[in-house]
Amino acid sequence: MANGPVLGHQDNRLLAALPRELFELIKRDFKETLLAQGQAIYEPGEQIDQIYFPQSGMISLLVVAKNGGAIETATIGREGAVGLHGAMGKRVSFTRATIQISGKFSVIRATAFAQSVQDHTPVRDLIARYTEVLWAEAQQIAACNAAHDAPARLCRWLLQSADRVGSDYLPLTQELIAQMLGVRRTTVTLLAQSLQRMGAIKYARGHIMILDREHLQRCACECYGVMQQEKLPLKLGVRF
Amino acid sequence: MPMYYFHLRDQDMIHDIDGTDLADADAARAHAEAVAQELKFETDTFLEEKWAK
Repeated sequence: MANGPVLGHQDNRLLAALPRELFELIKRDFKETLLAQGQAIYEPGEQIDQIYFPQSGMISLLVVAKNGGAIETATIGREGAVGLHGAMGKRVSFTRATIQISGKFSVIRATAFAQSVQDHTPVRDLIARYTEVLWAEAQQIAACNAAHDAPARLCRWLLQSADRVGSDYLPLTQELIAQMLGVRRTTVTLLAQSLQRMGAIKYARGHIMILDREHLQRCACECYGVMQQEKLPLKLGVRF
Repeated sequence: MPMYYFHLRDQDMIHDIDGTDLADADAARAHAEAVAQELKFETDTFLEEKWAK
């Protein structure tokens, strides 16, 4: 159910941003892997030995509390990567990372990517630029969670997720969405029902299908516009 | 644990089709109040949460 043609590694924004000739050089260290929902990639404290660049699908990052409970805190799709700083040196994972939506992922050993970082300035710059964008996004999201109401945040989150996965079909539970938005699961159910009534989405237990993006854009808070794909990097003066 | 369903009545009725496990009626009331707070309707329309076992 992906939108548009399938490009392979270039479906990931970061890899697509590397100069073509450079990517041809380092391409052989990448492999394409299909990973299924539920598969664990990292536990907190585990050494980062592989870096994941989603082409489709989505990775969830979860903070694991001392009592063992885990809370979803971020999702990464084709706009980013997980484990990227493993290329800057020996690193351990801060969070648990699991596959939230099945898909295709470009994967490279951290040591191999570290070599590329050393040999090629554009690769090192890419990591720095992505980190700048992530920091700006984190601030925007913190402000959004503090200031904007749940209906607007849900619309923003649905649109962002669809962009990141590259599909209007989101096989995500309301429990996940509730955790990501910091609201009760009941609230998500009621809001989803309301959106369904208005024809914006179709939803059932375990998945949401976006039917009317324009409707969601009208309902979303301004944060969707600010963080939409390439707008934030441009705003920062960062070129991808 | 009993399952509670929180339906939303505004001008229309929106049904909670999933339900939530909660300990008792007090917990259900607290949950309903929290959900009403999260929904944060700005309208003056009378807003009521009904819960049913």
